[in-house]
Amino acid sequence: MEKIAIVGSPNVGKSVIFNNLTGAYATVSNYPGTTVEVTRGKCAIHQKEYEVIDTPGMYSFLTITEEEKVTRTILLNENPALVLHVIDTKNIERMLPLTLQLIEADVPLILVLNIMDEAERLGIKIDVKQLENELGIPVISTISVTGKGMNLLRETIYNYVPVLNKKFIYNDKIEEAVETISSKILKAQYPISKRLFSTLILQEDIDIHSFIKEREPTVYNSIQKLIKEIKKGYANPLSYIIAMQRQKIASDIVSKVKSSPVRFAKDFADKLSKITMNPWAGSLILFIVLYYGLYKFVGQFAAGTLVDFLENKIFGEYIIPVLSKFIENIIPWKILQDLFIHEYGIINLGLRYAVALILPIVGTFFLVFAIIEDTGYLPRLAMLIDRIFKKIGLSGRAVIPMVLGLGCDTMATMVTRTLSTKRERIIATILLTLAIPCSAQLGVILGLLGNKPNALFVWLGVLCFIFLLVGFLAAKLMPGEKPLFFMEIPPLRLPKISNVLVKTYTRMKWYFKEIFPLFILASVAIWFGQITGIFDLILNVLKYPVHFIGLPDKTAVAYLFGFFRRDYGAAGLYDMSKEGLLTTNQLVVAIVTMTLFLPCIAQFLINIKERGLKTGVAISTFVFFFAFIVGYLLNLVINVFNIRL
Amino acid sequence: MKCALCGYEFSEKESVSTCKNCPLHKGCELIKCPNCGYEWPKEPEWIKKLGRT
Repeated sequence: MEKIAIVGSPNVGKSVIFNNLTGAYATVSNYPGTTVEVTRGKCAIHQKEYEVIDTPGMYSFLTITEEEKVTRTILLNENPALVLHVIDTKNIERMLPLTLQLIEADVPLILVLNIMDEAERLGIKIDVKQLENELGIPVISTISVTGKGMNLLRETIYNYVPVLNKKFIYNDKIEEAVETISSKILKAQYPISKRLFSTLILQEDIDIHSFIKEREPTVYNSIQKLIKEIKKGYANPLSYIIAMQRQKIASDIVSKVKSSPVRFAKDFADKLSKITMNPWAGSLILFIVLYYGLYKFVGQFAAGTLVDFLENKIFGEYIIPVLSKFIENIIPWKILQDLFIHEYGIINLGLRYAVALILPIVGTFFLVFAIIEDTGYLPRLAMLIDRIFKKIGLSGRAVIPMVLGLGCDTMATMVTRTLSTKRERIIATILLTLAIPCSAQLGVILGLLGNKPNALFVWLGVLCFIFLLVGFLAAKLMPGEKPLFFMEIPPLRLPKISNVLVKTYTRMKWYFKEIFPLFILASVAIWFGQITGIFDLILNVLKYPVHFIGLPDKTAVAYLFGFFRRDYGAAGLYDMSKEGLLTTNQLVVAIVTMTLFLPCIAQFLINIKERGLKTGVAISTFVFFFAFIVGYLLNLVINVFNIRL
Repeated sequence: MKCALCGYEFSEKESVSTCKNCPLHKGCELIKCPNCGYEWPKEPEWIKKLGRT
């Protein structure tokens, strides 16, 4: 029985087309050796029976996910008589590169322009005949949920006659290399075209390389030599170069067949998109985003005005006096009163820090973050900083854990698993533990230094310098290949208010659920430490490193808070600053040291869990001592040069 | 759902399968993109219901 494979990205309506073709009967099973599900069913067109396979989502033949690997294996091993590439018509430009790869693979192919109704609603029109001419394959437009176009698709499947697939040409160097590999080097027979195999070889697909090594071990050295030679001519990886050239071919075709009423808006968005990734203009845009988004809105408005209102008015005048009176009335013992009220009580410390200090700061931070996220700016930021990250042994992909680290370093350390090499994972863990402040801490710091621009500049400068220096040294100490990175850039768009509000609310709820119990627990631990004398003992020990960096004794309390959570410690510094116990110079030294300090106990444990006992303990120990050494040096420089911030 | 970072579209089920190896995944309220690893908190049920009406 002939097989029909339905392929395409996730959420393009493949399963609805599958159900339309096969009816209700389908078998779902894991693809052998994987946990990926593949659905199979039968369909009959004019009494001719076919086996239809609904494959897992696939973006490209250059596979990343397990799902993509399974789909590629099906195409390579099951030799389908026909492949239906289903695309979401409104995203035709992003999806056409896979069509080009399938044409390049020389598989019998029909392109299905699905979800046509949504495209039409957006005013998008596709000249189907012209697209057929451009691609050299049948093209059918469908609305799978209503069944529109399905009869034509069935007829086209039944009447399909294999044609010689069109050839799309890359630039001279790549084309020459593809030709050399496919016609001169590869000798054996392959399940799909040698041309596609050659591009995947050039793109250094690990599985394809292993496949070639197994099938034609004698030619493998020549292939390696050729790749090395071609790579010399490009600053970027060949996978990136080929993907970009293929995208250009796709964009050229789309420009001939698609008309859209929002051309002006799209042109503007495209131009703006390019500007955000330009090293100079992009850096300026990043500075503006950080200045207004973080410094002005989070640092000055939230950490200044909002915190001031909540702390002094709501907590200072209402909540704390009322609850203090209530506790004093119902609990006669001072020792037990201390658990709830007075200097380190749950209400005065844990509740006040969580609600009056941290909540407005993280709330506004998450609001800004949701706006940035919803515009599609984050992937552009990843592309912008990719070249800087490469110098410190990381790729733009590491922007994901680094950005998440601004929310929570512990969670971000787990995300370092997605980095491709062990070297990258270790460097990213060091940098997260050391130099990425979490959102709450960042907000408190911005609040502390919001009206002291010189001090803020010194803090930021030291942090950036340490980030780059430690990253650079770590990359030198752990030599390895430059990591590869390129990602699909979704369109730039105006943020939707509903999306932004939902994201902000969801994140605030999650964060508050995370920190509130910890803040209460820390208050209880401090209370317990006080009545047993452990608190004073630890403070006496902590006084030495605190003196070492030129800070008053009481700063040891903030550092002790910092062991529980860095933001809790930053809030302690906030209290000290408000009481006038720290000069601006001391404040900068204290904040720099605390930012570099181990984020929290959870971070220490996750470092061990993710990087192993030896590396995890080594990273945490290094960070602890390094933070105080930097604090000492900063204090020394400030004093020697008699700097007044 | 769609990843805000890489644009990858996936189902919640796929996200859960990505988290299988994480020791903290039980009771975790984060969605993780299977393509790039980016994470964000799950949308509460009442907001989902509100969106459907």
